[in-house]
Amino acid sequence: ADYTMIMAHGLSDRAHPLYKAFEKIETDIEERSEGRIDVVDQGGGALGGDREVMESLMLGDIQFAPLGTSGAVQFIPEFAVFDIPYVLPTDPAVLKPLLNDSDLSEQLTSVLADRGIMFGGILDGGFRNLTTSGTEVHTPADIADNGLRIRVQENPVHIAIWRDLGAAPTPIAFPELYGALQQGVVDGQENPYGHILSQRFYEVQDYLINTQHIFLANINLINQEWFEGLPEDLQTIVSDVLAESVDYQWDLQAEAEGDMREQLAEHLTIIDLTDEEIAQFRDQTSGIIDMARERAGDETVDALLSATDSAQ
Amino acid sequence: MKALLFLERYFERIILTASLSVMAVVLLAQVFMRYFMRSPFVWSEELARYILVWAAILGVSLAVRERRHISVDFLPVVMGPRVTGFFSVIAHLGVLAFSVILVWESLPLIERLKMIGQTSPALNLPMWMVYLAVPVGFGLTALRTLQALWMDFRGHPEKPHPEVSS
Amino acid sequence: MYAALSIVSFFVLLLLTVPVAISLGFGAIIPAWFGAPTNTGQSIRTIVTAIDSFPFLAVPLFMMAGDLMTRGGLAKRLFSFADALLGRLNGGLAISTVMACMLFGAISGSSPATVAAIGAMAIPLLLNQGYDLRFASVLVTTAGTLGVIVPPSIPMIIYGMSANVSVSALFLGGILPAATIALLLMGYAFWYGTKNKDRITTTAGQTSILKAFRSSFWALLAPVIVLGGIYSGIFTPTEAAAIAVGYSVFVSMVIFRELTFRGLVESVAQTSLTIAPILIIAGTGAAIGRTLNLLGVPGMLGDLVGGNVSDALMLLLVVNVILLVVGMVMETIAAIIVLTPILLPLVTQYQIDPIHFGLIMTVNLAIGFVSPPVGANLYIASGLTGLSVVRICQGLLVPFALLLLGLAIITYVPGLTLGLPALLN
Ligand code: NA
Ligand code: NA
Repeated sequence: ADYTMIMAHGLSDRAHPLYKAFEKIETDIEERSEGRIDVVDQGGGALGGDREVMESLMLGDIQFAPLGTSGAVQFIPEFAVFDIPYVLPTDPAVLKPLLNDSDLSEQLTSVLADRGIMFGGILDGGFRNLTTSGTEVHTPADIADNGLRIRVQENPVHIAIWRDLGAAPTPIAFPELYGALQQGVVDGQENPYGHILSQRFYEVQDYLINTQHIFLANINLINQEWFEGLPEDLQTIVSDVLAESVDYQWDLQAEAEGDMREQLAEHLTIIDLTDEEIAQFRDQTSGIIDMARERAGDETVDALLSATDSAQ
Repeated sequence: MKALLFLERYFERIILTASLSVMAVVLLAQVFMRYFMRSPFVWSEELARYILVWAAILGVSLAVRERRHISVDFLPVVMGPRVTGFFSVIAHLGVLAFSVILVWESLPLIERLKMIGQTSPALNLPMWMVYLAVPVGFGLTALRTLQALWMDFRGHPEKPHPEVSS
Repeated sequence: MYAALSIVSFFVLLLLTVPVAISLGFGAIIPAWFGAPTNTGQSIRTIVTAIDSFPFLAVPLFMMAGDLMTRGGLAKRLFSFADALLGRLNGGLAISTVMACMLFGAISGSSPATVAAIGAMAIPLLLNQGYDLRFASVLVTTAGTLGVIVPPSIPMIIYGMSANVSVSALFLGGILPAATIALLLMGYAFWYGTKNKDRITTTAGQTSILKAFRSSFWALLAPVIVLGGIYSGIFTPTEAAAIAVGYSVFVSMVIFRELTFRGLVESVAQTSLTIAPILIIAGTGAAIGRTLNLLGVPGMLGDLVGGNVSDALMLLLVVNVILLVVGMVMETIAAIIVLTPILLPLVTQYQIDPIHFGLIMTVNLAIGFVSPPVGANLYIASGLTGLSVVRICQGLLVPFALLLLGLAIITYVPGLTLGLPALLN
């Protein structure tokens, strides 16, 4: 092959809709470039955690990283917009164009370009939901009254969200999380369906509460220098395949959502929140947007708000 | 002069001893705050990890100073005591070369990491400060290795001995 | 080819007595000099990132706990209790030594620390009662492996971190395998004691079990606190290392009053010497692992094995042989960090449970502690007895075979490992 495109990510569950999209990207680029680009899949954290992968991408050691924004926010502070709770619509039909073809995506494209990264579209990682052991949660008061210790990523905005909801946010290393839930070191965690399934958290949790507080935006990031070093025909192929992967993955995720819910329902009690209950969660965390503004900057937050306004 | 000699003897050791103590205390406090006070720290884990990185890399230098690096002494044992000195020089040159390469390569890397500009999530520490342990630790290792070589040539090599591992 | 270059340079440098840590580092960076698609900057970043991991904090802290338990009188009491319990049997003191290693291992996560702590007490007593010097050395060398096979265990923590599996499940899974190995070694001690009945005296029976229990109560409580704390959710397996340190300090300073503040500082200073050459090995080990990964070794190995191995049983045999060979020459932590990402995808393809595989790896590499040329337990036992490593190895045949038998049982009876975690789920 004339060019190598190392693709690094943390997923190892090949049934995950995201992983299926990554595999499609791999085969499509290799086929259409007739082998001139060799795509090397380094999944399962083989090249390190999100922080390390992001660093490698920016240094040019790897060429393509489809990462969750919260793993990259220490490099790209503008990604903090995705940490604002209850600002994005949950309907995929509205959400997909909002993320991929709007003021927001334009703003992200230019922010990333300044840092040597090409924006390759946003995939649907699902909304984060709360799971707990033992405690049935309908309102923030249920969290606060029980002083629930909720495992969070080391992300200041996530920590603030759970503080506002009355929890004791607890950073726990991901490899220790299953055990920590099993033994009760923490009372709960927050992840989309896909992660709860592939990490088998359902085995050690009792309730899944559809809080849908944050969207897990999985963003295709390409090292710009590498991309621009490709001949034009290959550039077109890469861009086309990435654009198609967005459509493909959103469809797949929409189909899988119901299946995943069914699978989870076999092990967990699923709690759907009423609009009033969701409103309580939204009110309780309404201060987070100011924190996100401080980090992401007004321009990006306003781009998000304008995008959501026009999507209504 | 006395202070310098003291530092020569104990510099890395004091830092490692202090690091170990801080790591133990921080983790104990972390358990206490989470379980008994129900008010978990968010910075403790990160602090302990970064201290560990610095301690681990300064440990390379300490191991050279105290001649405690783990190595395989199959050939010297088979070939007899005449070649012990020869292998000791080879081993030291290996450590020296590796240290110099790492210092040389890590400095521009740290420059670039500074430009990328990431910070740590909990302590908001610039990440290059963690990576700085590499040029500092391996720079010190290079000096310690030159010192050890010089002492070998002056003719009182202390016999290296194998060390406890996990 | 680049992969071969990496591995060959590692072994050549190792033979030239270049330290393990540095040889691994060279193995990581050398291929790039010849045009491999890797680079030194990436290796440097991997060194840092590998050490910058929370579970890895358990390594220095468990080392520290081991030293404190020895200085503070906990190890001594565990040993007296074991002797009061089992000392009357044929080979009683030797059987007690195995049990003491098990008790010590239930607090400590380190195998060499176990040899050092229990060996220092047991060897003079064993000699006193007429046991052969070589038998005594061999016994503590092999029983010391219980330090990592009995949970908590540094190799299990490192594996859990590399394989992304629950460390507490590994700890639970380790209980029955540890009991198996301990029984085999106790059987060996009993056999030796029976064979040499005329030569060996016994002092057991001088202290009643009850009295021994009372005087060693606080030491016996340590494993209960460490393991109990993990399973009741008070702390994580990594934090357990800090708890072991805290508890050892408390008991030795406040209850036994055998450790002064000065002694405490000395203990930490001693630990800093012990860990100095070890921590970096995880970093450079990860760096060579990353290089091999980028050079496509997991895929090559997969093709190689996939073409020649038809079922899981065969695969486990092959993997065990690979691990045993690696365990001979490579430091444990580095071996786990390098091999897990390479072997795990392979074994999971054959439907082998990652927890089961973790225990196979742990027991296998624990055997590496007693296999020459790089076997930390051998060197420590040699230091304790003054017997050369070669002489100890000559007596190693039977207990080594028993360890291999234990490994075979653990490998081919997955229920032994997976039963307890499944039961408690
Ligand atoms: Na142990
Ligand atoms: Na060995």
